[in-house]
Amino acid sequence: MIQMIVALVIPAILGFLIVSILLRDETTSGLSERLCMAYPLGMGLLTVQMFLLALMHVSLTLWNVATPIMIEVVGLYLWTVKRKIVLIKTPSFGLFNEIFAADGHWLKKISLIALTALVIIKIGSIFVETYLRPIFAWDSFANWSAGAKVFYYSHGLLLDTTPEDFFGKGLLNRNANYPPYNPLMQVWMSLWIGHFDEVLVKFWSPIYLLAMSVYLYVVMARETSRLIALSMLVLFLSSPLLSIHSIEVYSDVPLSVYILFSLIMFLFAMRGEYGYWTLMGLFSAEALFTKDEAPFFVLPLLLSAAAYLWQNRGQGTVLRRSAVPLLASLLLAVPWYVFKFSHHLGFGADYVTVNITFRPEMAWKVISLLASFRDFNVFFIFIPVLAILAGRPTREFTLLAAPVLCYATFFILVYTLTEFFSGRLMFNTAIFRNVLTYYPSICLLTALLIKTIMLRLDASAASLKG
Amino acid sequence: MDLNLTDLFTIEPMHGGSVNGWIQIPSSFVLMVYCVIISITTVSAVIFVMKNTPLLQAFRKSIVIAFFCAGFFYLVYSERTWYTWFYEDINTYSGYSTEAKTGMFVGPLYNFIRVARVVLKNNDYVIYASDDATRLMAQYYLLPRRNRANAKNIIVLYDNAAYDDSTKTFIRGDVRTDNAELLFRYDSGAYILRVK
Repeated sequence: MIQMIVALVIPAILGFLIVSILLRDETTSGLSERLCMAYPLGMGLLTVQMFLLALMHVSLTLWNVATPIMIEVVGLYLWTVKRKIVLIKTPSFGLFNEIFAADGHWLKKISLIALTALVIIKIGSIFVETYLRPIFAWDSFANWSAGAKVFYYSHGLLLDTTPEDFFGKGLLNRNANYPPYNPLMQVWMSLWIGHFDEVLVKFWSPIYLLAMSVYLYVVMARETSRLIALSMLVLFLSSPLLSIHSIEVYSDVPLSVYILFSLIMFLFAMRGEYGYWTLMGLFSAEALFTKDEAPFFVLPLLLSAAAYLWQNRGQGTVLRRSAVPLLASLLLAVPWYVFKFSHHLGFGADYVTVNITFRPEMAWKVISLLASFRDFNVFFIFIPVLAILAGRPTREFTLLAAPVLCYATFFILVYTLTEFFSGRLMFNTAIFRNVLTYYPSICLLTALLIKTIMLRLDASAASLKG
Repeated sequence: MDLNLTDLFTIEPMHGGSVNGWIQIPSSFVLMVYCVIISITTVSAVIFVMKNTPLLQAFRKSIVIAFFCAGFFYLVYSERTWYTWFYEDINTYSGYSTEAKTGMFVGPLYNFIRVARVVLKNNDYVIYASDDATRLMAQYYLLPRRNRANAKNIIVLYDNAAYDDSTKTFIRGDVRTDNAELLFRYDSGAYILRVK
């Protein structure tokens, strides 16, 4: 257990140091926000490094993998000391201050306490559930963990083997087209644990949920109020599919975290904080290294960023501090795509066929499934209604919503235009799992819409009084 | 959506509970959520209009209220199911080692796999199983040993194959393999052979 905790803490420290350096001049983000960003960022960087080591034919042993990371951690720490960068900012405890404030209404205080308790109990139950169950899901056996086990025991990515075994091809139902990010996380955990443990190897998954939940709350609280943010977080966590995915070694929750974090970084970057452009690029690159669907979010996000920079070209936005670090950070994903294309690995599972058809009724089926509340509470029913009632969207909201809408539309096009997805695939499974990857972003956009509605209500009330 | 109005007030719990998204919610509950949305929107909008709030503002407020009310209504239902699953898992898995938990999850097949790991040592095998799920589970738990068509070890899991211990002959379809030594027999349908 202690080794497992060490395995989880090391990438978090690496990520925390990088976040602290990138946001050294930024004053609005608190310690909790930086901690939330730290783990997903560090884990992504760690797995890319493991991938590079494997490409260089370095054996993936604990010593070989951990040493570069430790050197980086020490180097970055020394740099923060030399540049006098503050690592531990004074935590604000805003929620607790509001609960224990002398002037607050008792009903609001009780609501905040109850909602906080619900969040803690839910996330706690997900951690306990992760510890209770061994790996139990089909794709974990067939793909993610099968690859991880063999990579761990072979100390590499099977790059020096026969063509039929290359990169884990032909291993159960492993899809060698997928990025090795998920298996490499399991390899990292196993290297510390000392063997492939069917329970402990999963523990990176609930940490992603924890980081995402806290960060989503902090951002929503900043945009609306703590009461609304906590209420939305409780509703967000009630998704049974999100809960189940958070206790397994699937890649959908990490991808949803990287998509959400890229979007939030873009939001803060648009508000003039230059450090977030680099983070937006890093999280986007990590999304690209997580699942094959990510390009269909990252490309529209880059177009949105380009639109923003174009619109602000005469207003002092420095491209050298925005577009350049954004594009430079995306280079993190380049080794994977070079490897992928140089070895003729396709996109998606290797059993997917791309025979074109036209079945528009599948779009209706998607809508009816989302309207059935099955996995995502009431978010998908309310977001179009709230968008209409909020009136003319702000430019900021449009630029944020566009990539998510493009990403969702991409899936609907895939379902309606390909024979494989419209006919042969387990349709509901594909829809719900794909929606899960942008569900947290939908939650964020819903909060932004509620904020807009509240502002318009306030403006209306003020004009009536005036 | 198949509506069944008779069980509107006897809501069955969510079922499925699979990571693959096969979570089922009865249509009666879906209908109830829509009823909650419509009624709360309507009632709150009427109240706001009666308080001289302009119609658009009244709708804006009432939709936000309906969002949270319907969301919490769904939450009570879904979390009840989640915690039911959670307590079932506590009762099933709590206090056991990873190996024991895996054994409980996989069932009797895991007893066979435990012995197979010892019998096979680090050698590869070819596996014949009655269904894909059994074959895949066995392969997964036997990793890093691999399933290879030309392996000397043969694992049979309730497949349509026959082994004659007296003649050391293994027959599967039209293929007959001689000199197959029985290494381990779990029961009549599950056994491991080694071809000399």
